[in-house]
Amino acid sequence: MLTDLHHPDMSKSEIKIGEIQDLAPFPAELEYSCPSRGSWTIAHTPMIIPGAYMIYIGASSCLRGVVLSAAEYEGMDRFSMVLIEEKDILSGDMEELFIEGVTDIINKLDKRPSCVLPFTGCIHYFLATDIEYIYDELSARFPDIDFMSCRMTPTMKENEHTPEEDMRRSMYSCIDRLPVNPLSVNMIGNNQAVSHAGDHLALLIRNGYTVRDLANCYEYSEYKQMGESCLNIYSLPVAEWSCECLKERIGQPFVYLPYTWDFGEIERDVDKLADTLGLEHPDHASARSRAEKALAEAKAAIGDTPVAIDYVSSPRYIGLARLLLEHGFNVSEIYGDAITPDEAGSLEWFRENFPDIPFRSTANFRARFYDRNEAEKYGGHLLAIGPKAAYFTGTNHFVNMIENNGRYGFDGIAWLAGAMTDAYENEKDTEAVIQVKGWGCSA
Amino acid sequence: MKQVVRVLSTYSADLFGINSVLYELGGLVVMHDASGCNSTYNTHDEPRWYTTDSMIYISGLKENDVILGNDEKLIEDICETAAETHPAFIAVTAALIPLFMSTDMKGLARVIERRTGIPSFGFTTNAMDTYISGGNMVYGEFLERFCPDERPGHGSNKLSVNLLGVTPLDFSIIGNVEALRSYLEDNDIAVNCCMTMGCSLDEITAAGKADVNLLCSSLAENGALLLREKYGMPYVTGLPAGRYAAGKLAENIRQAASGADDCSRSNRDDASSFSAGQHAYGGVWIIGEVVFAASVRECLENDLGLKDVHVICPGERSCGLLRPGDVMTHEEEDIENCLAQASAVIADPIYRRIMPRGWRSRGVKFADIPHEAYSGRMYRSRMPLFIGAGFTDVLQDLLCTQREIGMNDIMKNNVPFAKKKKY
Repeated sequence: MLTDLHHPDMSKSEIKIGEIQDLAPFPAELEYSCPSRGSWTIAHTPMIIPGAYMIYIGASSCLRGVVLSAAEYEGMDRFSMVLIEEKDILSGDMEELFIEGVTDIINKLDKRPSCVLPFTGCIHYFLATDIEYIYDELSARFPDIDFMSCRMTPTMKENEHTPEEDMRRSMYSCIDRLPVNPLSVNMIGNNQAVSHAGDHLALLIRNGYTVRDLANCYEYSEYKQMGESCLNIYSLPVAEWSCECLKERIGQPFVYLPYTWDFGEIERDVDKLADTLGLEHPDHASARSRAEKALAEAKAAIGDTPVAIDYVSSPRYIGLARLLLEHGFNVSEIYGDAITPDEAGSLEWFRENFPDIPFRSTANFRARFYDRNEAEKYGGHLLAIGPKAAYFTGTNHFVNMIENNGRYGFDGIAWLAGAMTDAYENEKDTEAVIQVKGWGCSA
Repeated sequence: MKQVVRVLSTYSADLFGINSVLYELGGLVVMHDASGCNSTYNTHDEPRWYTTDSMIYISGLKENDVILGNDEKLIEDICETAAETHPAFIAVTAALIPLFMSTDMKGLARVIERRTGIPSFGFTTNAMDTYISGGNMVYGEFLERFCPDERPGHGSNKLSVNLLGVTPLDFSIIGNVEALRSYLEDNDIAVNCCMTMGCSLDEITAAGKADVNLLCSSLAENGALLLREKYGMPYVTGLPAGRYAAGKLAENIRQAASGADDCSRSNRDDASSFSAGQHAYGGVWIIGEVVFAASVRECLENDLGLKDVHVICPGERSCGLLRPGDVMTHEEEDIENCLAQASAVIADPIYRRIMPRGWRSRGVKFADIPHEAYSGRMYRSRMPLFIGAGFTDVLQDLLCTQREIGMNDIMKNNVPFAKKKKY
């Protein structure tokens, strides 16, 4: 049965991009969660660590989402829980429940895990649970297992470090210092392995470097071997703190090579990488030309079809919209709730060039009331980049890109142009695809 | 060890039960929590989320508001949303942290109602109990509030029922609700109100027009009890699952309507009567929501001639349907003990994970009946229609063929990045 809901004031969940003054332009009110689910969560990301086993300690409602995520990617063999009850909050025995619960689980496993990731929740911090004592005791009981202290603390999402940043910190916290291998480099923080065709990795591989990417590791020893690398590279802002911690703890320097869509920035960043490692700057002309050609071909195929973009697709989604507009595409709308400081330049460009493009919230309560039939208005011919844009516009033509899909630089641009053409020409089962949680995750 | 869940899942939580019951009634429902509960509910427990609009939101509780006790932020946000959307009612539920803060949910609702003029409800959920508990909270409070003290006139000579406890958590969206309506229609019984899939708040208000309440899930037991107390309405507990029950249930409804036999069997037992220490040994075990599980037991005993059939009830209500040897528990350790010598198990596929070693080679049978409130959406394509006489054949087939569900529905649509397993 359809319910007759009154429509709220939609002007409060949509503004013109040229009018954005604040990087979080919508007020913090009741939050909506749309059915698009491609992003990886804390129940997915640690699965890229070979041999890792997750144990969550919390209330059943908090744990239902994570256990069913694990079940859906067929990962329940790597997952257990300890349920908190009301008496545990009152008794002050949270440490004992934690230690004995984790111990019981490990002792009954058929297979000894290489590392265990116990997850504390918000409640542990509000109760001032002695986390340090817990890990000291667990490490003493299981000296052959690495413990990574992880948090599921959504109430603390506006703290100095977000839960997503903390997840990345934890995941790399058992990499120990090894003798430095000057020809080994780590990629830090990605869920999907970074493509070796990306301009930065191509440079490294041409120069004989071994690139260690956790998403590509299949043995725990490969994870530990990351300790020998001479440099860490990260492209997702959420991995910055992890790199800072690695530098402080085991002395690995790091460099930020963002998933930019700006030609000049790609060249500067790749050159920066070359300088860091003492390599010659590559000749960017042919890569740039390939990207230009791919964009031109995509434009010829797609024409003036409206293109909608969301924040899930790329951490630099404003920059992506700018790239497409600069190449003649008809970007009709952008879906996001916050913008990173990295995007200030692109925002300024929009103010001067395309100030009227609508910027729509995905999480404000009013987002529930979007018509979701934009594609229908264009006879089904609307191309979305990102799963949330696909949902909100109601299109079946979309690129299921999540956090850049590991594609970087000019190569990433050429890849996206090809993916856009493919999406324009071929429909997807939007409802089935975008509801998969943690797209690409498996155990 | 108690509280350790080594291999199993959890049931849908109390606040999700409230959401599910209220989903179609045009209200504003707010879970007071940081985040996570919202996406958990609408991803795993709410199959209507993609296609049917409903105002289920989360408050976005943050650390500072926890420490400073800033209830005013929640109240203001709700009032602003209500001012724009004009909901039929407002319901606020609490997750773990509000419980820890001792948030006065009833008090919050009173303030919200005073400011908005909209009927408001505060539910002191704890995020640790199951959807059964949450559902009962709603049924108790909503029927008390919205059903007038004076029973409305019948308006028809035809025998009619209210269906209590119908949500996707127990019935999914695979046709069970439609089948239940058809069954009643075929038996010349009208449905006054199907609470709460395909009904309106007005229909709930007029619940007293029906002759009998049919309690379809333990999540609505409070509703049946309240309407009995308020209007003297009898109720019948059960589902027409299988040949025997399909024949018997309509008869029970008629008897209840005539006043000859009130089949209400509420609260004759409690959890302490069915503790894990008193469980039966061996035999057939059914795990699940108690009205469904008891209905499956009827089918096994009366249609298939099986004996020694026991129930594990993981929810908080037994509805008078348990027998000696049955167990009320959600503890993995207890369930493991109950199933140790089972000859057959009928349960959600996730329970296969707790079967004793070597069970297949010993000829133990397992029949998969996915339950949305347990495994969520992932096996929906394999949920059987359990309403109607045809369920007997379905159940027999499941027990005989021992077909296992391979890849779940979600993984079928996924494309894993990793080339091989990492564990």
